[in-house]
Amino acid sequence: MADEQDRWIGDKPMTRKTAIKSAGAAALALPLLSTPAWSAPSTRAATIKTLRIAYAQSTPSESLDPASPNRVNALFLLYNRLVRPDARGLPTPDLAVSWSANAGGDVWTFKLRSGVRFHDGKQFTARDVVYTVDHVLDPATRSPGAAVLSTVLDRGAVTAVNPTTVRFRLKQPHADFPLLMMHFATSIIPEGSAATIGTTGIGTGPFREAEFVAGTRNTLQRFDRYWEGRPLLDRVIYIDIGDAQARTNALVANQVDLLIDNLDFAAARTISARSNLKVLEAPSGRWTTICMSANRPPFTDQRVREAMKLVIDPRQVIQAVLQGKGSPAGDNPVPLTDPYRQAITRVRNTSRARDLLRQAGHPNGIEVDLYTSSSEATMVSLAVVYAELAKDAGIKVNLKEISPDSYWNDNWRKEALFTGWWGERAADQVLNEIFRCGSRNNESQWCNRQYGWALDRARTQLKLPARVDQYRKAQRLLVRNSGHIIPFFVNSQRGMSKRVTGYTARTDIVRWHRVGLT
Amino acid sequence: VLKLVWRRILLSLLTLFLVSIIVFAATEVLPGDVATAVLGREATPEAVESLRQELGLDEPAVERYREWLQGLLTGDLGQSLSRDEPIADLVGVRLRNTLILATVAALIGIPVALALGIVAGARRDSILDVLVSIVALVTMSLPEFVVGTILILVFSLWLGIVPAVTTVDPDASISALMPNVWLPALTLAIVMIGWIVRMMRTCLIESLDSDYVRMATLRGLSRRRIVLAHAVPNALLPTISVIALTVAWLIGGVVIVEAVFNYPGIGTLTVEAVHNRDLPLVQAVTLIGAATFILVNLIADLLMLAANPRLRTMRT
Repeated sequence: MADEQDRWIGDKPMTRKTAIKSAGAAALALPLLSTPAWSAPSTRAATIKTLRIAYAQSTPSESLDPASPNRVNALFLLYNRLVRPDARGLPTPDLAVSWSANAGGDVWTFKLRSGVRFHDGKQFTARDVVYTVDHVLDPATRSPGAAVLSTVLDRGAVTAVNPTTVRFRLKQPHADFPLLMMHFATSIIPEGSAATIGTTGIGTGPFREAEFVAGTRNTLQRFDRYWEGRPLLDRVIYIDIGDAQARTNALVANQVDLLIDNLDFAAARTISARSNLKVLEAPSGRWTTICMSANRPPFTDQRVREAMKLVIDPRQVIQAVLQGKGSPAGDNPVPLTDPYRQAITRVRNTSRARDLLRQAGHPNGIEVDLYTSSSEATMVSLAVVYAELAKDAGIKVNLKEISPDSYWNDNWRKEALFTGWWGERAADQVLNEIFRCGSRNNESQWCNRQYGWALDRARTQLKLPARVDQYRKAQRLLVRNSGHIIPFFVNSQRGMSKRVTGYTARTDIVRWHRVGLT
Repeated sequence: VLKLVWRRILLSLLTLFLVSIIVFAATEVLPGDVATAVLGREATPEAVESLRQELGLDEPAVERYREWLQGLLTGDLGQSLSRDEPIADLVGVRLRNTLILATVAALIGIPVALALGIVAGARRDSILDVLVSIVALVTMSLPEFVVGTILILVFSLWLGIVPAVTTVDPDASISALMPNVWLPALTLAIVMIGWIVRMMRTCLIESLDSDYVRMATLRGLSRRRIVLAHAVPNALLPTISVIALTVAWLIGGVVIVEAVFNYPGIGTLTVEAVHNRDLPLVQAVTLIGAATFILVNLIADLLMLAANPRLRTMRT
């Protein structure tokens, strides 16, 4: 019965009235569908295309609000941003069709797409953009996006010029402001929806919310009036499976089609050994680091920091820690695909490291405590490999493994030497957020004035080559000087059924309305 | 006898009270709180502080404990801090799921274990006995996740007759839930069988060695009759307490099995609660665990009292 209902929705042109009716029908049909979900997926797939995604919820208080610190995984199915990244990480039109800045780079004007509708039928206009940005910046939202936006925007700095034009007045010039509008928190929500968006999920995206059980399950349904065309899938279901082994089992047993959490090596081997499954592997911008506190001895001395970096043999580390599934980062956190990246090759040089230590007043080498935790898979193995490599340069590393429960609270950023990790961030964001003096996430407490100036100048350069110069200068300073040892970027590995089409390894550029099932 | 029962119940309540204090204190000592757990590593200090105030975490621990206890006495388990739902709703449906799981496991495990124990004990030192004893030892020493993984491999991946992990909602109907119950229940049954088998076997061998069995043999009763009618009932007495402990473990100790199978019961809820430092929820699930443990043991004691006239008439 449920299947018939859905075909019926598909054949008829959707009017507002049928849209409401069908949503109700779908809600009724769901319990029926979920019952035999494990037993007969192939027969069902012929009539209704349902993509089943397993995920590990990070918190049970999940919210559909894109600005929330507990946002759900399905943001880009429900919402659109003004701009989205293309394959090179550059801004490309999403809900905005074009944008331009004034000569000073501090006033930005975005032309918006017209004729776009929200899931509830309401027309998308400039006022929704104004509302969304103010919502992100509202302290009550506790949005992780606020830290990024508030560097250039205050509440009320966005105005609707007319229904399809919106203007941003920045606190300071930012030549790459559109990059900030790719932040997931700026996914556009309807005006006045702050109180309800967490449960309604009304956006302009290719899928609309059907049933949301926070921390357990999230069912989305095709939005037929999606502005880029009708999505290929009828339904997408996110199922919470906390245990990594259980997720792999669910995929192998054909209870789910896609695992969106990163696979460990054992799971990747299990999955790639199956003829009906595959592992999508792609370089990511995620990095693991050994971080020296630049304000704590012996790391106050730049020569000691440089010596600590010189013991890394990138190829050996990637082989030992990631079983080869990674790319050398050369102590530079800017993603390899980022147009601003300064290409850098670092080589191991232990005799130079010894020289530097001697010059810094440590003729007999140094002894340091390295704090780490298994809360992230690669941190402990990186620490172990590092301790081994450092011996040759006269650096004795004592490993301190801390329980994952207390590590981030008690040790991370508080010790002189510790491990950490960060997800992919575009050049301007990562350089300002994690390495700049005074930034809250500057975990190494490294402060370099020249570096800050280079970043400031970069933001004011409206010409691309001049901007590239400044960003690269900042990166060279950082590689030579900073407290971060960044040996590699981790490859992302995701498991999926071969029936899934259109899902790419670079998950940030997946076009969800083009994802299908065969 | 009634007086005895009352005393046991009062003692149990005192135990529960002490458990709640210990659990509260232990969770307090854990690093971080629900605000840091929910907001994550990159939360700003201001956001953490405002959430703390909103949840009342800025009050002193003693005050929070008093409020929680007061709520409990009026039958209110309180509100989950991390899920923003009444705890009674959260716990109720998961308790149902775990009870279903434990019941099925007990119904499979206990009869099989008793039968195996009786066979092994009655035919002491036979090949069958050696075989049963070895199997019992192996299942006792295998951790739950190993047994579970093997069962998934065989029944879900090779045979494909039951789902590998549970993907239905916690509040799914029992009929929707049942296909997901078999594997975790079988895992629990296999892990618990060993203890009961060994206890049953030992006790039966002891009974068979006793004077009244020799007496019965001399009177010419059949071996079968001696074992089933005379030796087994006596051997069952000490076995009951082992069964009770095992059943209590079933309900309190399903954490690993539920995680392996993604089964939405008390176990997975406990892990989540501790992970999120959701104190009222941790309190609720641990109290339920402790209460079950005490209750099952109380029932076992009463059963033994009923079965053993000597204990029954003893004045305490």
